[in-house]
Amino acid sequence: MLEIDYKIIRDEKDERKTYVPEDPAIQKMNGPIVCFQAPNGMGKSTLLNIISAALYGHRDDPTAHRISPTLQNKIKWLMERKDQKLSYELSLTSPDGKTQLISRKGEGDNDVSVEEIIDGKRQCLPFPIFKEKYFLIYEIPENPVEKLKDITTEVLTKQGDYLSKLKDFRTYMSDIQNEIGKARDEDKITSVEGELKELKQELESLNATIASTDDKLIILTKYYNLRGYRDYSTKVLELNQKIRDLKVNGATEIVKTKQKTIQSNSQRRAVEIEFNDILNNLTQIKEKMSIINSDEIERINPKLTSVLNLKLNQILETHIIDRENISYVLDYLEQMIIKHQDEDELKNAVTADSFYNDIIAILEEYESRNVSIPGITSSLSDLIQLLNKEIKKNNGYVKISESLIKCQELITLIRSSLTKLKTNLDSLKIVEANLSSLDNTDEEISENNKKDQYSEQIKTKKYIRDKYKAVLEESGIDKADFEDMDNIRSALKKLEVDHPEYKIIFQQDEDEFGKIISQLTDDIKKQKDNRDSKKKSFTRKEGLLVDLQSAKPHKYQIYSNVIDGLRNVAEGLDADLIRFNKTIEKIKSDDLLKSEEDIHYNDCISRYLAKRIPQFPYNGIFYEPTKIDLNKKIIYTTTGKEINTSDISTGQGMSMYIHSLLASDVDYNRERKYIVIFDEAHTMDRKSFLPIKNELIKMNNNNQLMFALFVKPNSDYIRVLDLV
Amino acid sequence: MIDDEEILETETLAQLLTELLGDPKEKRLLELLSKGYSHEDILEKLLSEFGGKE
Repeated sequence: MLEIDYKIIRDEKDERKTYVPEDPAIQKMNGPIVCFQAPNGMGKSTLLNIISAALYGHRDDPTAHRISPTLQNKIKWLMERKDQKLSYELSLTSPDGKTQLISRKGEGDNDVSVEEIIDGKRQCLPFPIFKEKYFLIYEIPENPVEKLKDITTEVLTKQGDYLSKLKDFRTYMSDIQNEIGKARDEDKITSVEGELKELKQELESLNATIASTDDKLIILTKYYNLRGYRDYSTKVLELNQKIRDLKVNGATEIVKTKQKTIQSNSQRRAVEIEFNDILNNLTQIKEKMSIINSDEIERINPKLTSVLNLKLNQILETHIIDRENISYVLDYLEQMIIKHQDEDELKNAVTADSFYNDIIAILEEYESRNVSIPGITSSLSDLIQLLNKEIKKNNGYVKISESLIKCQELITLIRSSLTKLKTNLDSLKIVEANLSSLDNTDEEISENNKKDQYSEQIKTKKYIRDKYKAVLEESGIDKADFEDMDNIRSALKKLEVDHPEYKIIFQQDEDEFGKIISQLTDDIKKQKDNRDSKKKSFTRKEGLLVDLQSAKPHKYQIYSNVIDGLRNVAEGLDADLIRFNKTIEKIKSDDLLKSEEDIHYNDCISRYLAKRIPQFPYNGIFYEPTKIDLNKKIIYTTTGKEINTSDISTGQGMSMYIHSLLASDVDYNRERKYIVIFDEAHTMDRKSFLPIKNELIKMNNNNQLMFALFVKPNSDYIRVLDLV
Repeated sequence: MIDDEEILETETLAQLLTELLGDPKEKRLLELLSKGYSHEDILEKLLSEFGGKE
């Protein structure tokens, strides 16, 4: 039974108009299957939209209802429009009277509120719960054959449901396998016990190897360090003796040699100073004279260059300086200087320069006083300026004259240095002759160096000796055993006698012996690491064994392999269902089906759709479909007739579509109750409507129908007819 | 476990889909899933039918 009251207050600008049900007959309909007829404009569609909105018809969720998109847009508009206020109260009672749905909306409410009363017990039904318990169908005749494709959505949903269940079942099997993995397993216990036994043997063997290597290393290390200590102690003693021998033989001669050597070095230094002075001064003269007269310098240049190229080492070695050549050069240069100084222009310029400077000095002294020179009209200041100009004119000659004077001074210095050089070379010759006359001097110098070398060697040997000693002390060997050389020799001899197996190693030199010890140390470290790793593994397995022994057996333990196989089966089914989903999408999109698998699947779905529509009217005759092929758009029937879906009339198509929707819960959520609203029902004639009516009666008998309302236009009056 | 399998129907769609499956074990698994058996019951049935469990 349907009871409804509503009020719409609409702002129509010129007035606020209130709309309420036109006739009391439409406010209460007994049902459960009702045909409602009314003239156009009497609010039929408004009534249906309000009923649908009151049952969450405005919510977008294809699993909750089946509503034509055109109609749903109208419902949404009804709920959302701002120019009106909608309020209503709806009550739907199931045919057996046990279940009642109440939906209310006040003027200020934004959304609907639905309650369910079963046997007097009231509960709120928010949308997620509502859609689990009720299914709303609200349709109009609108391209009905095309709508048959919507049933494929249900197939997709159902296959998704299988996939979901399959996923859960796979998780369940995985959990079982995990439990089996942790359960008591006699085979695993035996296996772990075997592994433990094997590990124990390996550990024993490793311990024995390590002990043996350790012993060997101790013996070899002791021998190596004792021998090293002995050898380096001996070397230190020998070197000390050598130094003592050097001191006794060479002390006196060394003093003499040192004195002579110092004297010789001093003379050499003196020679070097004078020689460098000669060359430096001569170089200066060459530069200055080249500026004055380069042609004349060119003439003397070979001799001058040979003097400038003289080598100090050669002079020190031979004790001879070529004085004759140097004197020739100096004489030539001196003549050049004198010749230039005698030139009239130079002499006049120098004389004038001297005269002008003297006059300027006198004039400057009286410049500030009020004096003048008789016969000269210029002032003193003017005269000074005039004289300075004259001095500038002679400037070049004055500089040449100065250079020539400087060169003369340098020549004098060179002559003096040359005399000193000769004297120093003679002295050096004598000192060096004396030095070489001393017996064994070279050897003594060499031995003196040797002393230093021996001292350095002693330092090194002592350092190594002490290292050996430190190792011996650390290893706990009694000091008495290695402080005395005889004891060391005895200890080494004993080791050689006691361990002939190491004879070859004992004979190795220090480096090779050291390498062997180092290798043995590495070997022991690796063996110990290996042992530690195995010990850890042993401990872990012992713990595992305890766990395994304390675990209880699992009832599916012996089926572990079978369950593994079933997991593969589930994976295979999962892949197949995913493939089916892809094919149904192709069918929905009218894609061409090419693969055999897709064609086979389409055939299967065609038969499924036929089951959903047991019969349908076509040209006045009822046919039973065997396949409804949406991809080929052909309906195959039991009589062999093949009907193209484009030949189906709107009413017939609508009948098929509604029928398939009503039959859908044969497969899907069979607990839900149906609320069916169908507008423009006049498109279906009696025959087309008959299968629907029969299906509704069947549903009503199965307590699956809440209410069904079919609406038709009527030009004269409002009428409500109960169809059953 | 529900022993009388006759009282539970295999869903129409599942029934048709099993025709597309080659592996009998997959067919059986889909049937059992569509009939709404619990995981325990599905595993028991599969083990008894394919794993030699009595």
